[in-house]
Amino acid sequence: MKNLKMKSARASKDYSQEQLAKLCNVSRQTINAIEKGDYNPTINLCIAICKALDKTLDELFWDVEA
Amino acid sequence: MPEKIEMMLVAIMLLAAILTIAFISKNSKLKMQHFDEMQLLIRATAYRNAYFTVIGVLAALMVLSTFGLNNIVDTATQMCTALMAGITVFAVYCIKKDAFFGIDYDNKGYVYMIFAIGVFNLVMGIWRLIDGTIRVDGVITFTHGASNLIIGAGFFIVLVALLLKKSDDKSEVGE
Repeated sequence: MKNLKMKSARASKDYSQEQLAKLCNVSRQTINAIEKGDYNPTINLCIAICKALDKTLDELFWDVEA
Repeated sequence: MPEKIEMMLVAIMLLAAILTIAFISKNSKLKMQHFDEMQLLIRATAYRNAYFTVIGVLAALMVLSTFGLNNIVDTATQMCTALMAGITVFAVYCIKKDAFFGIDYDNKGYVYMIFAIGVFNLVMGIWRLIDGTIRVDGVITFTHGASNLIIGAGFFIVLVALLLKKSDDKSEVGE
């Protein structure tokens, strides 16, 4: 399932995938895969992404509808 | 007998080269490649695929040897084929999934090296194939050009995969 919350959080910070990847010390392809829903990141990476985007885990990775 | 000694010498040199590379890479202060978590998972799958490829090719060679394959291709060439098939599968899978090079790894030198090794070996192997010196007593022999052909073909396939990936990345739609 696509992670649109993460994508919009990244856009609101005006970060490219490349920039966010550098901040989280991962490849651009990993960020792309997470946003497309092709890869489930580990908790450590989730935390790194949340810190980079100034969001909480719930805001980016919790599926409210589930 | 001399040929067996020659093969033993080749094997010893290869082992020495591998040990030297392993020692240098372990103690080197050069920047090692860093792979992120997704790349590590992809590489694990690639190793698995390579492993089963080697097993599959060896099994096929075993079956074919009962039909007289050893009269056409010597054992060392067969083994090299299985190994190169595994290495190629690993490399192509990683390249396709963006897990061949680490993060922020400057891969230009690596690509040139693959090009040089691939082309050199392929040219040598094809040359030996055309002039017939690849065969000894009618058998395609490892030390007479077959190794060059197999290694060249493998590296060439990896090079093509790298170039295709590079062109795909350029034409990729931006986010």
